[in-house]
Amino acid sequence: MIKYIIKRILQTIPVLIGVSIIVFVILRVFAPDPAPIVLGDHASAEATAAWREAYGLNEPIVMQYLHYMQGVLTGDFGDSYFTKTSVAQEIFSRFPATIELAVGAILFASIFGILFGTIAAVKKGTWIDNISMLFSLVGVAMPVFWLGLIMIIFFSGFLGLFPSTGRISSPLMRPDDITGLYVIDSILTGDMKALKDSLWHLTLPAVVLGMYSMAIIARMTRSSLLEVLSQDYIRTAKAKGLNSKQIVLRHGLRNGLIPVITVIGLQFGTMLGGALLTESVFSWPGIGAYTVSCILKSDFPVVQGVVLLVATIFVTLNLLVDIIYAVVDPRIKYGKKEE
Amino acid sequence: MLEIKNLSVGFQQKKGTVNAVRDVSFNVGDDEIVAIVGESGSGKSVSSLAVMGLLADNAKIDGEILLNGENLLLKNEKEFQEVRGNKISMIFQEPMTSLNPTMRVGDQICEAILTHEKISKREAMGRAVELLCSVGIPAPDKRVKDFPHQMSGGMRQRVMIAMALACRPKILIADEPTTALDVTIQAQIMKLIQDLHVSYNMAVILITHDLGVVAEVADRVCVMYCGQIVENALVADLYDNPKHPYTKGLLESIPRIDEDKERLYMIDGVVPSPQNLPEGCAFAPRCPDCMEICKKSRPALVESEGRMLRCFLYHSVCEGEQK
Repeated sequence: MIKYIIKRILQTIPVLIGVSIIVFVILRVFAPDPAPIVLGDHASAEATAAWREAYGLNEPIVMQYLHYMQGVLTGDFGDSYFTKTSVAQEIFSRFPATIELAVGAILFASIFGILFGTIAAVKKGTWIDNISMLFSLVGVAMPVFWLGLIMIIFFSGFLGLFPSTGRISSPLMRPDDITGLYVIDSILTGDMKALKDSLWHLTLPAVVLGMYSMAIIARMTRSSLLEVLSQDYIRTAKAKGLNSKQIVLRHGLRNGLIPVITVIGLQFGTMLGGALLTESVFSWPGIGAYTVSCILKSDFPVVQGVVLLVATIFVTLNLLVDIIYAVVDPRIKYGKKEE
Repeated sequence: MLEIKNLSVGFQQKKGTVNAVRDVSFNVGDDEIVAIVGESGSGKSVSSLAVMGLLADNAKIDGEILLNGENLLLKNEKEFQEVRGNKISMIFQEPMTSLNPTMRVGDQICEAILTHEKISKREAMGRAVELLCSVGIPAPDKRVKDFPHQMSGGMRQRVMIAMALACRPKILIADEPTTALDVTIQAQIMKLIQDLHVSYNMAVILITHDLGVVAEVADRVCVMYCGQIVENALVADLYDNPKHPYTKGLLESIPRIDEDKERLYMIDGVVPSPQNLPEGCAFAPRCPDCMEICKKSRPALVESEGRMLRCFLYHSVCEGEQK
């Protein structure tokens, strides 16, 4: 198993190199020249040339890439063209907000997705099943920005139950910075007021972001569980005298959730890449909206850094999913065949 | 101990009801091995699943299934759960797929014990080891930690048996327990069931289409055809002197070591579909001794010389004797 994990980690290196080359080339070929954006339209030719030289943009693209990778290997991802702060700092000041939102969304999506999917499978063909599946169809079909607006109008405008923007009511309430995740930090510091307030702010955006995944997870759970429930070992479990709750929980879900794990992993990866629309609708200070603004401004180092980070997260999540697979399903043994 | 009276099972489908079991009655004594034999689709598995209450939701069940005088068909789901795996257990045809692939076999056996008895997990695990030992699995204390995929088909069927025995049931229903296994293993499993029948002092209902197995282990045999019992007799009587034309045909078609035949006997025709049964006796179209009455009306199950028969050939005999 450890051998397998090491092998998989080594395999990620070419993937990440490939990703970095693609994003590097695409930015330089298709994105507008950053110099006039940074310096303004009326900058002199000398100033532009000096700026390009300072950021190495006058070199051939291969040399630019090699210099960039040299930096990456030493942990230097370059500086933003606009704020002049390091890319790492730029990303990590915003990334915790994205993580918090993504974790909230995936928790919502997994809990309710599995719940609805299970109920639908157990009550197959009844009105409960039909309503669950209709609900999940709506979840898949509804555009996030529209759902976000509807939720804001209804829950924060009309009912006044939840706030519509931001991570916390006032900057003064921010818990001490430990992880950057407000919920975790307020638990660690025992600040109950901040915990309540940050959860309160998190609810609506997490539900909006998680709705699509919840619908996918519910459908996947339903079909997978239906298949498992028709297996011979379910009949064996019945013959033992177990009740239907025990059968579904102990024998059905344990086997039925195996394919659902993959879906959850992939959905979570997508969310961590930044939920542009959700973040925009709820003014959530995460990485998604920031990245888009950097793309539009041709802030190459930041875009490259974000893409590399997201790619790394994706690869890691995939590896994690495979490891969880082996834990849940004892029939899967990695690395045995090669030996 | 177990009395099945006029059991009928129909499956409701879009095209109408399919009657898989029609008016089946037989008894199982305290320490009997009763074999139910018949072709595929003759209703033998459906009858046993009805006894376990494991039929699909679209099944319509009539009649009575009495366990020590209590009608199981009147029990609600919760009461029936206390019977399953506790008083009546069942093992299935497919040992390869009948165990949960993601659960250790020891835990699966423990689950059967803990469902019906209030003992600690640790005691249950101890019992599981003993059970594996009694079904002849070597190194049972290690094998309890195995997952099903680490075991062969024969081993898995032994685990299934251990699981079925977990609560010392009164009756074990074995639904073609050896069909999926190879021949040498088949004999071992049958021997095991026979031994456990004695040591656990339980009745066994053995469902099979293998008449050779029946001759060796069973006390009594019910022969089923098209959802009905056509002959119910003691093993010795049935093999020495089969009476129903279908039973005769079945026994004729077994190869025998002391006979030198060019071709085996074959019963003419095919089994009619349960949706489209003949007007008279279901076996009439294939029967070599078919009479006029057989085509028009259906015979009842009547007693004749210590056995039950569903055939007009013997109706007249008993009617004659009664007169």
